[in-house]
Amino acid sequence: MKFPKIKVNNLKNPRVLLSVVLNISLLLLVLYPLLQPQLANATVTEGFVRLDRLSTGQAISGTACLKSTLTTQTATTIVFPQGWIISSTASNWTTTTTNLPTDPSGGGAATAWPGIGTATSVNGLSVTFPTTSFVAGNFYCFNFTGASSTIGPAGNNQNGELETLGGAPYTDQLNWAASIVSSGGEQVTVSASVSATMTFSLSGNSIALGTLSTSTVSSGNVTETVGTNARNGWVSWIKGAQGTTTLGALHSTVANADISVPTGTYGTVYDLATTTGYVIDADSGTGAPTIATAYNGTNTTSGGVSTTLFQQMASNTAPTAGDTVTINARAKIPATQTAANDYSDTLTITAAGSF
Amino acid sequence: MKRFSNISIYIAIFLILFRGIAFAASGTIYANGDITTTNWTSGTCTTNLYSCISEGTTSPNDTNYIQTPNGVTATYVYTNTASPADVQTVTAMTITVRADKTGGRSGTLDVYYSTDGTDPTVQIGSTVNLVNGTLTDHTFSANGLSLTKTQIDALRIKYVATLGSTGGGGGTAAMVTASQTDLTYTPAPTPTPSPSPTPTPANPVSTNYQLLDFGFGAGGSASSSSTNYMFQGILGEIETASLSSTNYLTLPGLTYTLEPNTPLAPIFTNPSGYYNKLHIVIDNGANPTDATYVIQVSTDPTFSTNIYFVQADDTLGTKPVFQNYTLWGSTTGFDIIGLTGGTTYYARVAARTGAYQQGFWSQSANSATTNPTLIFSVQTTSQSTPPFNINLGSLTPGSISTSSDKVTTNITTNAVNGGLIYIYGSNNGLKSISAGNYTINSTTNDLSTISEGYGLQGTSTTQTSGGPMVFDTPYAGTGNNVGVIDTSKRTLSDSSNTPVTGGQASFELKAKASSTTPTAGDYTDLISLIATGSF
Repeated sequence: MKFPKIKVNNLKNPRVLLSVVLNISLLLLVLYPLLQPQLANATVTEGFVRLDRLSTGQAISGTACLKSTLTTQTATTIVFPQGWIISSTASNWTTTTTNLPTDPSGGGAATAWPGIGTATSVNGLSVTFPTTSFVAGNFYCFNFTGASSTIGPAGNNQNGELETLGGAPYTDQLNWAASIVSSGGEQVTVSASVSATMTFSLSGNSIALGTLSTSTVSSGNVTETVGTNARNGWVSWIKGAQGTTTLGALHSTVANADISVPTGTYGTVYDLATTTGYVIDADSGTGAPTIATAYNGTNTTSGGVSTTLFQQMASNTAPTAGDTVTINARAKIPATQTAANDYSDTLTITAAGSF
Repeated sequence: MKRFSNISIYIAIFLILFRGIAFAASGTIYANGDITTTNWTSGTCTTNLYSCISEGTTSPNDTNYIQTPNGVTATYVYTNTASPADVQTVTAMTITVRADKTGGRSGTLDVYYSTDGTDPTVQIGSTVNLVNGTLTDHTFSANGLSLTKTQIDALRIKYVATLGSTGGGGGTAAMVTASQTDLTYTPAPTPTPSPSPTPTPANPVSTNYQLLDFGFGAGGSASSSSTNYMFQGILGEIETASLSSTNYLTLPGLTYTLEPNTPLAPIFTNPSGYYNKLHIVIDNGANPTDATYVIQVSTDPTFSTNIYFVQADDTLGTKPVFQNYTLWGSTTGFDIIGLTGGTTYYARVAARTGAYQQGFWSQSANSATTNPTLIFSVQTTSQSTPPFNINLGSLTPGSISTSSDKVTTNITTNAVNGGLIYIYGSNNGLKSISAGNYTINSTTNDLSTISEGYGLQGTSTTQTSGGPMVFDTPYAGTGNNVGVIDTSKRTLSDSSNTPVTGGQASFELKAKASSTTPTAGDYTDLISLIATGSF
């Protein structure tokens, strides 16, 4: 078997020695840029990495901004501080360009970071995103979120880097620092309470119906005003002093007689144009409160009967500064009604907030 | 081997002969001063007897002479002209005297010499009998001498003429018409050509030292100059040995005296806890105003790796940039920007003069950038630790309730563009679940003019240094004016785009219920506060 010749170069041979020297020189020339120390590039005008939370253990998200005088960017790398948990899955690092901050040094609006997108690679603490060339002097920003990545322990002066690639070895390089506080150390809970309020008033305390007629309906009214911050609004009730639990009346002590709707009962609305008796009608005013059916007359001669029990008259479902309800009392007598001048009833109206 | 041996012999012979011919020289000196003239008169010379014989015997002038009276012993001592300049060692000399006598009696001549300025006592040659009436060149020789130039230049020659007074023929007198001294000598080596006429300092000398040779060296020169400096180059070898210690170095050669002064180490500081810049003040080394400087920066204290140079825009680059002292900030200095946080940098400076003469690096100085910092915390008037609660109490419809406790945010940051505090709520107001999620909406408004509302009002700001802290719109209201707290992150306060230490911003909450605000005991909101630095 014949072995190929192995050529052994003798370094004492000047030609061989020269060849070695030249090759080493060529190698150094190629590798020279990599042997230089990293220099922070003086072309970065300003820049920062602003985190959304500064508490230890919080998920990593934030905004990176940079203003440069160079235009050769091809990628962006954020290097996070030591001790932080950085997901090694590139797709976990997403970006947006909405709601960007204004330029702290110029006050102008930020421009969306050109070409930014989901990270293309993660290497240890370094997350690299795609980027395209800047326009020199623009203030660029992008938001980033790192799923399954968390801020490290509390401590001041935690250093990271923000770099754009495209130069030798960088186009832009920015050293930044963060101050991480203990859990919740950067948040303040603000609390307050609002007390319940209720206001109630009547515009008057009497309704004079005058001399009642057998042919026309006599009416009179007062206005109820209700205000409350009860979150569910309010309810108003009414009851009379005369009559029964199912039928109220105007009563004369002298005549010992009542004026009421014949065979009337609570819950039905009667039109005194076609009958006689004594009814209560509520009309909705400010705030459009809801009038209970029993007292929701359909015209100026109708209404429902009061009782000696509180019956719901009106309500509203929201806080109000002052809802109003017009409460009408109406009466018409038959020809056979005993004459007297002391027919009366005392209506009690109340309201309550639904808190 | 035999051929080699023969050749070597011939070479040896050649060298010997070459050495003998090439290394023997001759010259002639003549009388040029009288020392003793006992019984010698000038004859036809009116003064200076030597002038009657100084033309030498090669071309004698017999019409002028010196002579003696009859029958005396006459002694004549004289000095001579200087020997040739290249005389190194005189190996032989021959004194030729042209003389005769008149008269029938005897007449002899003896010649003596000395080389130390004393009366000559060393006879040269032998006694000669002067010829009656016939001028004859008599020679007196001495060989095997080893006289220096100094000695031969001090040569004195004595003639002693002894003239008989007895015998027949009457009295006898001597006469000398010419004389010369021929020297055989070994010449000195050819001297180094004198320095060029370029002006040299006039005889630089101090108490203990003297420069014997200075100026442009042989082999040519070149120069490059600026207003105040000139670079001189010397071809050929110069001694590069130097004495050095850890901190000092001495170098030979005049070229080094023209280098710029080495600056002192720069003042390199971080005066305000910067994370991305450092302040430097360089020293000008007392160099002239047209000197320029380069600033080298490294993270390596030995400056072996990671080497950068400060650029004209105060950043770091890989190419050296030279600027004058004024442009580098003079005594105020400037900030080197674009640095990395948490890093120690080393800086040193070198000066340069002319087009390319850079001096030595100064000692280095170092300074460190800090890391970006952010310190944030929250407290209330009555709570220093979470969970934090602010209770507005029972809201009376139509009345504005103000929280008795205030919320205080604390921030410290060295962010160059300052710190910011953002706020947002969870409910867009005070919400009651029991009231069917009724919400007292948050608003930006004067609560006294509306029936119901909720919001925040800034009450005070302060800081230890930097800033100042301010409230942003709409949180800087007074009276019953409040700013909204909703789910959007809004800037509550900031430090005026300036780093801040001990910054604080305090605020209170206000709320008002209307007569129709549903009664409930569980109105709440959850406020979140976020601090960031704009680095």
